[in-house]
Amino acid sequence: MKNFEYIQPGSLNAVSTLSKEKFVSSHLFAGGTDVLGLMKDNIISPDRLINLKNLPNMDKIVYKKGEGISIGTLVKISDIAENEDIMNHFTALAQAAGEVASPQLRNVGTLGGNICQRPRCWYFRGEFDCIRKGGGICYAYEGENKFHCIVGGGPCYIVHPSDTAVALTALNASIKIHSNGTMKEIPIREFFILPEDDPMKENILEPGEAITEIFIPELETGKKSAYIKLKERDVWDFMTVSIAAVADVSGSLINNVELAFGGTAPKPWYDENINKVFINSKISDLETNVKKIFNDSELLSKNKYKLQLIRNLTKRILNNFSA
Amino acid sequence: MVGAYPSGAGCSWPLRSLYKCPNLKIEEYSVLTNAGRARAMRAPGNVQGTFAFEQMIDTIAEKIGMDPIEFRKINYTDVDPDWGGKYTSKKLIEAYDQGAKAIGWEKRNKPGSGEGTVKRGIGMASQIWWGGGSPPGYATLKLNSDGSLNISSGTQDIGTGTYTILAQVASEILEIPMDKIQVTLGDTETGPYGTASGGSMTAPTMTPAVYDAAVQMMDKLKSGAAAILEVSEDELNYSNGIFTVKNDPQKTIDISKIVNELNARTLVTTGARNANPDGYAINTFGAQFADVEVDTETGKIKVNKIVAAHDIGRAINPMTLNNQIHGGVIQGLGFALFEERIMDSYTGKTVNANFHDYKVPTIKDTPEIVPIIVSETDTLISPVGAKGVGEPAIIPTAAAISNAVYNAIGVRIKSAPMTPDKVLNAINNL
Repeated sequence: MKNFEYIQPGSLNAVSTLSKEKFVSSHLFAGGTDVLGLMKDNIISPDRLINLKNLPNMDKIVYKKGEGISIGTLVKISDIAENEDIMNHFTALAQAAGEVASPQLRNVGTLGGNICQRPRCWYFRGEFDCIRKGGGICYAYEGENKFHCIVGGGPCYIVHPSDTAVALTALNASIKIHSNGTMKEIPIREFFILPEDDPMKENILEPGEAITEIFIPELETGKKSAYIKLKERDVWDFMTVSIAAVADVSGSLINNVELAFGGTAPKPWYDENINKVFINSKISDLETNVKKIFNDSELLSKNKYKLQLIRNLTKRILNNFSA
Repeated sequence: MVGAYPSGAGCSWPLRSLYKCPNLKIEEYSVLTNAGRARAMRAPGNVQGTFAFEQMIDTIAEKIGMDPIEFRKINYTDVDPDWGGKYTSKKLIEAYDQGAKAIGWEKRNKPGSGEGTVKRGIGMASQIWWGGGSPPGYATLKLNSDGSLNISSGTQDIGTGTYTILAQVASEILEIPMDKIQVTLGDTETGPYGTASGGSMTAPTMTPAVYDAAVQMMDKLKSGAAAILEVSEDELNYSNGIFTVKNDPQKTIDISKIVNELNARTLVTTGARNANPDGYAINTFGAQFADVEVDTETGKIKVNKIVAAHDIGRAINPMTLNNQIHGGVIQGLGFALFEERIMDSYTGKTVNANFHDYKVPTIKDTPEIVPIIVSETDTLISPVGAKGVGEPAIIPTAAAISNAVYNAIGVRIKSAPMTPDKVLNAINNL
């Protein structure tokens, strides 16, 4: 590992100035659980690490009934999993946070870091000069691709690894970003990008920008949320496939639903057309209706099972709302 | 031609030796994989061979409509089918019976007959392995003038309890408390030759060497005590470090005093592992039973319970023995469900050479494990009568789980690890 500078600035303006200095490659550092792994594996070699932990007021959770909840970028994943307001009103996020990694990593990892973590693709993380690292090809496309995406791929076929991002996408959260002295707010559904737009980035953040908080609006009356995740190993594993749902289900009727899919695409996948399949449909028709989703998937040689898995888990998560 | 680094382990030994089969032809060959050099891992070849073979045995039993355990029992053999040698001991039937009782074999349903999306199944598999130990193997005992004892040997303890069991054997013969015995291992410069950590050899090779050295030490002490007390050796009793003259209980001497009175400072003996008996086969046996659940919508297998019934001769230390069985079962669970080298076929690079992508089971994946020891001392092997357990414990786990998975869903998963993608593909015929 090459030498690097380590700085803990006390203000957002200082973060902006430090992170966009010319001829100095900088990387933001929140909990560090991903950044340190990336550095040790030589995926990134920044000249400067900017630790955000001294920034004031970024580790708070503030719930205002009827409005929504604001979660600071430095709030620990374990605190989200155990927060009563989040468990009661934004259940999908608490469940997603509880599914992240292992207890040790949840105690250190932060929400901002979790949604900005880099993909787990073993070609990206390994000794391969792949597209996401500036190389010429995606090795997964014709290689070992059982964990890779079935929609939104090309020219790179990663899946986005964050559990919390999937929940936040279904919950229609927005992301507050400090950008060179000003604040902006971006819906999370517009925060992540596909490889066709830029195969070397997963989101819209530019140098000089940092997430300060995530806001989730209060769910409308009658709506509940949930998160479901399949992982091969029971703990310390990323999703094979995960789904977050915000739904209004009365008895056997799905009045409304918003679904987001993890382990499916290079970003948390959200598609109004998928929601429409289930809005005003019957729970008893789920078996038929799930066959209408993801029919436009581009299945790779080893991830065909994912289509069946996504449909089965969609059925399961919606069934659970009526139980 | 298999290149510069072939591995000679083979996978066919269980097929050749587990059951009586008078007409058996085995063909086994190596293939060149361009995948890096071969390495041995806990019961090399046998975990893999048993995974395939014991699924075949279950398949045959099902085709002829017979209970899998009954089928194994009628093909049981008292002699090694390869060369006809009689086993020094074999308690496989006991392992079948006690294991079946502990898992609740009678609750086992027809394959794939369960209701709902999560289906439960019970399955089992048998195991044969060597593990009798053999010469050479030596241990040196030093009895010090304060009555403490040092044991040294070039063998090692890789976390399996060698320190403890060697001290136990010396303590049992010499009646010296465990806390006065110090064991020094892992140094072939100061200790005599000891066996390497392989082949489940350490306990059955090294404990008889310590036993031999301890018996020699007892002879020296007894002869010293007789000389000092001026009686014949026959007239002495020994208990807890003290010799007493039978007809004159006031006349006593303890072992520390013997060392001093003899002006020896230290009494030293070196013991050797005895030869194995001629004409006998020495093997370990076992049967493991698995209770699993298969989620047919996600393909995920959950193992609820593993019963591991093993014939390993004498259990010297039940706690370290059970620990080894737990370790073997958990590693077998890894082989069954998680662990796999995934290689990029275009570049030959392993893509999951790290502890995140190469998935070793965590405690959350680990089921209840119930070890059962069905054997007692095998006196034909050595005066200690122990066989090894290191490798037997891992051999049948994956096969038992795979047979339980078949019992749950009625579909065979013929490749390990049995990950959700493979299970879903098998269920959906993809």
